[in-house]
Amino acid sequence: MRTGNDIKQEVNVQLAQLQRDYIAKLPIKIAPVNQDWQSLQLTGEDEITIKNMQRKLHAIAGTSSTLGVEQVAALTYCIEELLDRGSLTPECRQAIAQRMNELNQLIDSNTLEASPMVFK
Amino acid sequence: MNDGSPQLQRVLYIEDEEDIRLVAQIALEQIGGLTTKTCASGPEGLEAVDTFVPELILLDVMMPGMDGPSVLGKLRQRHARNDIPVVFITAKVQPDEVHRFKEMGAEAVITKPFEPMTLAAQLQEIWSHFHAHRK
Repeated sequence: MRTGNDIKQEVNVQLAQLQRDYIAKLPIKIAPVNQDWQSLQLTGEDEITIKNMQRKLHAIAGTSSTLGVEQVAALTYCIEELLDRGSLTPECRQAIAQRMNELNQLIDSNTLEASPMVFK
Repeated sequence: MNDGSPQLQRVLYIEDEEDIRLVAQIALEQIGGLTTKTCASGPEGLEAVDTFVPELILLDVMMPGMDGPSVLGKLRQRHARNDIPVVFITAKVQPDEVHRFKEMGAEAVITKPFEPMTLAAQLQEIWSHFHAHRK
């Protein structure tokens, strides 16, 4: 018979596996954001592309923070906010480009770790 | 501990992000002991209201296609089970938005990231409050 501790341990193993799986999927999740950003650099201020990019960033930010991948959550929230400023001024574009670079480097670095989610 | 109000048992969670659905399923079922069904879209969720018969619906606000407020609107307008309490779940929520969501008919608003270890307890509390105010 499974004890309370067995169940807790099982849950913790499952949560840790979910975190690892999510980190492994991040390059795939960020690819459409990169495409939107490239498109915005070519086309200027396309409202639909900005909204699409924001929606994708919002989803990654929310999932990353839920799964304890805080560095990715912070950068994606930051880029989402920059896109929300109404106008993509040169300063704003530069700030987004910098954050996008940091985000891609972080995801490609294979050093990402999630904060433990522990059921006690 | 039971204060006499009915215990929440069945929760429907409508959320487009698969990874969040998986965390919530563990949080609600294994940690919280609730019977849980998750759906990936508004239309799928509205169908599940009839088949799964939830006692409470946890509803993501920002979803592609039919968003959370639209799902709530459809549920309240034309659904036979239009009195099921709905709890919105969203990132980035301002106080005026919480007020707006409640005016739409949401019972409560939970912000993302939610805490997996306490999500079920949070919903139990909302459920108890809902019942206390219906008496």
